[in-house]
Amino acid sequence: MDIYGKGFVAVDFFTHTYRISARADTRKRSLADHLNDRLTSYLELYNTFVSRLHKPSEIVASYPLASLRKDGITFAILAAEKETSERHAYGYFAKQLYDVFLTVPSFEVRGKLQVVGKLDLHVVLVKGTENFISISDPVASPSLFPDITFTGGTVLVNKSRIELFCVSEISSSSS
Amino acid sequence: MARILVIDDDSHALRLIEFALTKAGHEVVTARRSEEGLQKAFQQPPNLAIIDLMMPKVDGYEVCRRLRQNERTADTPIIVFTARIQEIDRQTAMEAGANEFLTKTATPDELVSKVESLLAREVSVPRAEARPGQVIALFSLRGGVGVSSLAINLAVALARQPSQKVALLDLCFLSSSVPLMLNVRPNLSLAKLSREDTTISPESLEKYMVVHSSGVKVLPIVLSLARAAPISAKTVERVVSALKRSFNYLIVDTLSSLDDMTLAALIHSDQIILVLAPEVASVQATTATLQAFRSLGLSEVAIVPIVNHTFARGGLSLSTIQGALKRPIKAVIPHEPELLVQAINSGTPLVLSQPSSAMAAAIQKLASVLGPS
Repeated sequence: MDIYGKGFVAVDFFTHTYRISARADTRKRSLADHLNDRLTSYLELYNTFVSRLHKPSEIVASYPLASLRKDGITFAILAAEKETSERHAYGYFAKQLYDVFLTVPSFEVRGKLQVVGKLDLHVVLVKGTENFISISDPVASPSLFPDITFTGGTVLVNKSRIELFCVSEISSSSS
Repeated sequence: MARILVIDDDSHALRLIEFALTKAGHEVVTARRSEEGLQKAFQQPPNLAIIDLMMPKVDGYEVCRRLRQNERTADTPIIVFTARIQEIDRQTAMEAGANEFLTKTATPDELVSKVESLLAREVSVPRAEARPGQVIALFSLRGGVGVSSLAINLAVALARQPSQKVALLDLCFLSSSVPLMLNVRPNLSLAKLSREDTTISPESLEKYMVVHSSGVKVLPIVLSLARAAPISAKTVERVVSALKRSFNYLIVDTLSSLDDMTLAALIHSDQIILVLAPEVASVQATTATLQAFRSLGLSEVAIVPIVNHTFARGGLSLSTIQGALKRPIKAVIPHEPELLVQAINSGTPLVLSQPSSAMAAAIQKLASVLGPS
């Protein structure tokens, strides 16, 4: 149901201590494009609901308007399965899916990383110009509360927050 | 046509939901603020409520809780309709009293279909007064077969059926785990009631009970082991008789012994669920129990043997157990050790925390067999 109308997307943002559920104004672009836009360091949020990480369903504060520092975000979970930048939507090389496991402050995240061509971790983590990498089929758990899991279609992980990045063999290839 | 109350602070969402439900032929009452929605619900209880979770000041979880606490809206079916998509959100909403959880990724047709199915369930179920006072005791002469876990989950599963008032009487003297497994903190107990020599009536028992978020009212047997004193069979009889008058279902969690207190509860039960594990000692204990029941003149019809798979492999086959007991097994509860331990540790019954698990599904099926037909 397109509850929010075009240009808005419902997102769960996670910092290392808070869960922030909000509507982000993406102005008809993808959230990944917005997060990776180096011209702005803040994200405008509407109907923002804040929960502490140890009780992630309990809403402790809510505000109609908020601004979130992009570099303070550890990762953002979206319900949508596809949240890639338009620039990467097409390519001549086969796409490969890798099972990944990564740790960020207070969380461990599992999911699938889609890479065009051969995987080069140095390119993904260091040379790539994007601040947030997209991982599909994510399952994120707070390290201290591993029974709690957060899932969605896509997670956008702040590269600067990644502590450990592990990749298994190719999970599958996609066209 | 049903009267549906929709509470959502987002006017765009409210308009869309109103349009979809009106088109489906329902009367829709809307509220953009939780307080306004609660006021409308209490003034004229709706046939169903659709509630957003993320609302300022009073969030959707609290709205569910307040609706469940109010006598006029305690039985109103609730659909939580939210942009929060996480399992923990669904779990908390169900604990707060929601009947269904739907994320805002659902289409209007899916929402309407969920509304119709919940309303249909409501209509097909007889009202509270139609079949009052079923006492269901769960018993096993052999301990460790999961009687308390089953009693708790069965009580919650029955309470989740529309218009059913369920009480859970904890008779596990000195080994009670019901409050812990439901994460409730009672202030009073059956032991205290017994000491105080209060007149036992449905009204007087209310203050000794603690309400779980599912709606199940729990009467714990004892709060402190240091002050525990045996409870007489007469007290148990009176309590069962009083609770039977004010609840549709009274679930009794019993001790693994045929002492006077347990016998008093079993004799006054309408159905006794005999829980056994698929192993020789448990089958032997159940056979002995059935012999004891026969000598006590307990009705054969009221006895419902069920197998609870408390271990993974190597258990006796169903046909062997049925042959030994000379009666059919009415339900088989599958083995789900990790989920069950998680549920116990978190204080959230499995039927709420993992409703789609095989074990929860088996308990829900058992509840629907025992419940209103």
